[in-house]
Amino acid sequence: MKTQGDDKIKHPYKAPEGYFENFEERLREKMPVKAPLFVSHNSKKRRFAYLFAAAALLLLASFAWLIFSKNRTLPLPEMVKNTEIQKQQSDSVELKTLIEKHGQNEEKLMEHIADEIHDKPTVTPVVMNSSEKQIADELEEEGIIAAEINDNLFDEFEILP
Amino acid sequence: MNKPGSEHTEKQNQLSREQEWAEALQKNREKVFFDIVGRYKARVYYLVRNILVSHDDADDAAQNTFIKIWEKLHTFRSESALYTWIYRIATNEALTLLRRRKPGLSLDDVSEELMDTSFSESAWIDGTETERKLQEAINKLPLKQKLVFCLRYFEELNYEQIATITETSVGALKASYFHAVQKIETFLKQSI
Repeated sequence: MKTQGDDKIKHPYKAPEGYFENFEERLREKMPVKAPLFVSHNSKKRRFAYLFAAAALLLLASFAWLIFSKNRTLPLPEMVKNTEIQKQQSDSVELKTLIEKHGQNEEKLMEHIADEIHDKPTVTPVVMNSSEKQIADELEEEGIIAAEINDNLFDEFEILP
Repeated sequence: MNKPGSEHTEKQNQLSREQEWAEALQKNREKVFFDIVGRYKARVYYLVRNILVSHDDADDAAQNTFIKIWEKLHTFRSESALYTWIYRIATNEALTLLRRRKPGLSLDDVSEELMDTSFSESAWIDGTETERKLQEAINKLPLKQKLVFCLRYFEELNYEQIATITETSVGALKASYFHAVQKIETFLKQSI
């Protein structure tokens, strides 16, 4: 308690005897076991920690992007197969629509199909060859196949149904 | 009474002591903490006792104040006065305890209700008749006026320090203190 002047009226409160002597002891019992870590204000450590966290985040993001972009450029055999099935399905639907459109007139239908064949170049085998070559090129780039690749590489393998 | 010059030197000494404490904090937290406890336990106890009246409540608030100080010691800035920071935590702890007593009521209502019963029933009250009368008059004040009066009159803090503790403007504090003094004088004149 602060020393008060004689002209001043004091407050009438008093503490029980020995209260202040045991104060620290009782406080120790109530105190949390672990003290919080010291964090100084405006410290260089804190700024470094923020910078480090930002750099780690950036690194993680670029790494994730790298993996993501790799998966996109390397088509899996299953994906190629699915594309083929989809193409066949769309062709059959197109044919069905043509038959419905032209009805029973067989001559007109045949003329239309002949026109279509002349107009559109056939793309299916080219796509297959290009995909195979692309895969082979990429495998070579990755160092998975060290030998020189020729166009007939995939002919050596038996494709299972 | 101290001369203005010596008072200034004492304040400067206190500030430099606090600066030393803050620097020592980084080296030995526990030692510094118990140094603070030893230095301020009585002042904190009597400050919260003035607000809460009952010894048991004051003991709870005082202990909680030092637990908070222990937890927040790392956030203490050496440039601000240590005792202002401690008083602010102590005041908040006392007000929190009051709020817990009657959650539905305003702080002034809780304070008024508790003071009437606590003061007459408290076992740890001593002093002369005049001291008791003054305390009765203080206990009848609205909580804010009571807090300002205790910090100014008993703790001898200046308005700037009280403004930091209570987060109130100096002008408002001066008005509160003036009203408090008037009410106390009226009460004492009537009761004598």
